[in-house]
Amino acid sequence: MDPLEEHLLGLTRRRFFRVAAGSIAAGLGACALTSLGAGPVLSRPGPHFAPRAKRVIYLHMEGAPSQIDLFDYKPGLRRRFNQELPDSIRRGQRLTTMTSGQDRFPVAPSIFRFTKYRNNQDGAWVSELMPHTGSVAHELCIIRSMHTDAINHEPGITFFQTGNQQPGRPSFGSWMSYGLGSANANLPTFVVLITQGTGNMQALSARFWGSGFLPGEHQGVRLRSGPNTVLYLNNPEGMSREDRRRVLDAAARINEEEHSRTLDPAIRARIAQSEMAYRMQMSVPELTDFSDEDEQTLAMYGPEVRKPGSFAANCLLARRLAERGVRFIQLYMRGWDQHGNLPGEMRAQSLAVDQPQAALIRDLRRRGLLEDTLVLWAGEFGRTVYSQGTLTAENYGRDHHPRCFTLFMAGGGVKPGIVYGATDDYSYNIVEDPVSVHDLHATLLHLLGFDHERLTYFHQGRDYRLTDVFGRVVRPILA
Amino acid sequence: MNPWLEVAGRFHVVVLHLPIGMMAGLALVEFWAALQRVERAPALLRVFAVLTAVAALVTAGSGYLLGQDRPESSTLTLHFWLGLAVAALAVLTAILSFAGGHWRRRLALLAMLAVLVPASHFGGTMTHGENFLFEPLSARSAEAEGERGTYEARIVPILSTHCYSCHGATRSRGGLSLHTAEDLWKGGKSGAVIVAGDPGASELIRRLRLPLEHDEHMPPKERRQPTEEQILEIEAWIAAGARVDRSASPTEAPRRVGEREPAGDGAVVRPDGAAVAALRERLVHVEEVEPGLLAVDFAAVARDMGDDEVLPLLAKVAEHIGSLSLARTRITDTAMAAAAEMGRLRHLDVRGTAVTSAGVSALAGHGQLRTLILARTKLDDSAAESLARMANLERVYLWESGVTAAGVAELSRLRPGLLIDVGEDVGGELEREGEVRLSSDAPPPEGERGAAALTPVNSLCPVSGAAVDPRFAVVHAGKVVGFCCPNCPREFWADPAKFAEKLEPTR
Repeated sequence: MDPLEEHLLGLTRRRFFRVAAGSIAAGLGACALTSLGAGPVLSRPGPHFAPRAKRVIYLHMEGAPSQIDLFDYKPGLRRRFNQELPDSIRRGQRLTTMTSGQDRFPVAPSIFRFTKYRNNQDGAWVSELMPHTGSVAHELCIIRSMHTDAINHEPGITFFQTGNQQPGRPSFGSWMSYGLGSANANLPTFVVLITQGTGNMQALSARFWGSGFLPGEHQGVRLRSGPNTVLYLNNPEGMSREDRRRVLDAAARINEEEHSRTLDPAIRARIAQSEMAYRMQMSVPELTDFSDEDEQTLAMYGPEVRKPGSFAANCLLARRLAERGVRFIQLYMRGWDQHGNLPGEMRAQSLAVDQPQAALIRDLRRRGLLEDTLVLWAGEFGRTVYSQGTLTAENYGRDHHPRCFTLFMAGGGVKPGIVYGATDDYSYNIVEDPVSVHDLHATLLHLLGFDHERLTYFHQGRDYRLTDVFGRVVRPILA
Repeated sequence: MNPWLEVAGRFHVVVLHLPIGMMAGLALVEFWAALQRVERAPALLRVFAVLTAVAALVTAGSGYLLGQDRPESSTLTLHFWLGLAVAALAVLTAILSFAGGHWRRRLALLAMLAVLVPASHFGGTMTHGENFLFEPLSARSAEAEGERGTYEARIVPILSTHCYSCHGATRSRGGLSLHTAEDLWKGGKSGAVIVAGDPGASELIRRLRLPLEHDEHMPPKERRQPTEEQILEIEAWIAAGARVDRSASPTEAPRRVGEREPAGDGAVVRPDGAAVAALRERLVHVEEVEPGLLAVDFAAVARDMGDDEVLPLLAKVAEHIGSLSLARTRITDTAMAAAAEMGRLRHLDVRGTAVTSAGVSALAGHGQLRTLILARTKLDDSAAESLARMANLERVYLWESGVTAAGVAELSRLRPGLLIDVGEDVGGELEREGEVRLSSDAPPPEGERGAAALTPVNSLCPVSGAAVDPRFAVVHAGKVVGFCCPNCPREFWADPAKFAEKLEPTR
């Protein structure tokens, strides 16, 4: 049907029902409502069972860090330097066009030294690039057997955030906001913080934290670095808070009128967001002011913590957001796309994230917050064992690799101090316990108290889920 | 008022049934007439319509009289006007049955019936009380999923499909039957199969989760197995207290202490709605984690909250609080004394407050508390003794709480199993790799045919038909396929089957 016609029909239909309800059934309807609504009425769908995690801090390493140079320890490769990647390993898998034309696929072992750190099993190997992260291995659940469908950044990140490679679906944080609602009416439920990396960067679209077809108030709110954390949040010169209040009230009245005329849900979202912004005028300055942090804590996050927008500052901000009850805090660290000059770029990238992310886990832990906060560290896919471009003893690059990669989680009902899954000797194929992105989503939702098959939203004639028609809960990693 | 008039008024509750029945009858006659497509309104209908109008007027009149000695209320007002409307429409229907067409009359009748429903409902509300009609409904919805509904709707179907054939009404192998709630609780020869609230300790789940080959795995491996989702469903049901139908539930059903309110008749006492609203009004986060059990978190407004505001807000919902976070608020030991009164409190977070050992000692007798977060408080070592006395305490956070290493040692001596977190690292290195040396001397992996295997099986590119350049080869279905350029493989991968034919005839 013509959308305009449908819209008009919707209008008259609703108006009819409203008028009818007003005259005839007002009594019965109102009565039924009052007698049913005895308890607190909750307008959100979940949770389905007692949650293990109340909030999520998701550290997304944008560009896909190399699992071979960080967590997937393959000492055997050191004796296969510059050998051809065997067919029996590659099995004709499609490659990106960046390397599909290469003459050779020479094996590039990691040149970084690995150290085995204490965990709750027989230890976890972590490379010299992340010594601080290694030292909290007893808190981490490292999954080495992740795999994804996408082979390029945009679809890869979109898939990781929304469960679908095509844009347009709600992101994970939006689903969580929709499912659990806010725990702090002074701040957004879903906050995004971005750090510019030093390595090769890829585009970062705001739709990664979009709410898709879910109502607009569930979309992620990006906090900027620097003095203007939220643009235009402060009142302009000469406008008092009382004046602002009056303006908002007047605007809300007009918006309500418009809403009753057009029934556009976006208007409701707009009213709610204006109110949120008004409250954030008070809550955000308090949030971003680190002056109440003691020296010892600041030192733990590393020397960059006082530089707004650095990964260290964002990690500390993430802890402060978690403390204030924000449900979903997503940090993007850009610059992990090492097609060339991998050793040099990864050193700089790792230096920026290692100490802060370990500090975040320690800090949450000692404050008793790690119990119900789930920390997730992940890129969108892995990187190839063979070198892209020239391979030397000091330098190499790696192409995109969706068949296996490593991520870690901590807290929030996940088994601490374990390593799950395994890859073959080349870190190319998974040989044990594969975990797909849908499985990961299902598991995360499980920890948050949701049956991933029942958290749905009706849109365009059918129910949608984060996990589409896939996903299974990875039970062995649950505490 | 004349007492006789009052008596006449009281007849309202009897007389009112007459017009209601007649209106229904009128509608039936009308319906019949419509079906028969009669030309004019039948006489029977006319008589009926007039009688109905008279009865409606008598009812309205008596109702008016009855209403005189009732206190003013909005329900009464609504009932009065709606009742009057019914009577008026009844008269209109009667008039239209003599004059006017079929459809006007039918419309009036329809309108009368429509108004009749709310009018009678409000009348009923006055005699039977608010919520009389929907009570069973709301009681049911209050039970929520995860309880009664779950057992009947989700658990029974699973058990009946997979278990009843051996553990049911006809057979009970191992002394175990699962087909009634009592039998389910009783267990089999080797004891109970369900521990409410703890799926991990429940024999039922252990058997389901054993590897298929295991002798004790249930159902036996040759039988159809329940799906993972179904097992999860049972686990969730047990974790939520394994509640069954009210009538079938034995009162002595095993229940973990504090897991759920052991109300005798199974009804859940809901927290006071006004008190919850007052908390939310102050932007305190309140969540009903289980029916009647609340999680309360002051995180959003912590800095502005002191004892003077916190305590009155919590007073009315105290017995419903299962989890409370007062972290970073300005509370003192007084609030700890208030927390001690919360009988179902399992999780308490007072991190970053001015709470002292005196406050902790107020909580000493608390039997339900599982987790206590005391990081960054103003305690001293005397808190150890109070903490040791909390019977069910499982985990305590003492980072920068003022409790010294000696205090921690004392606490772990008094309570050996207690998890005490003082913010210290337990990590460390186990093994460090030596210098990285790169070489190429490792033999190719088992079964690998070496670089020669990369020679394409075809001499012409399957996509373009041009000569193959061995640099552009892919492996497909165990064969190395050569192409003329780096672009052709992409087309090939889009649908390899399409090119299968072209690969065959070469060689």
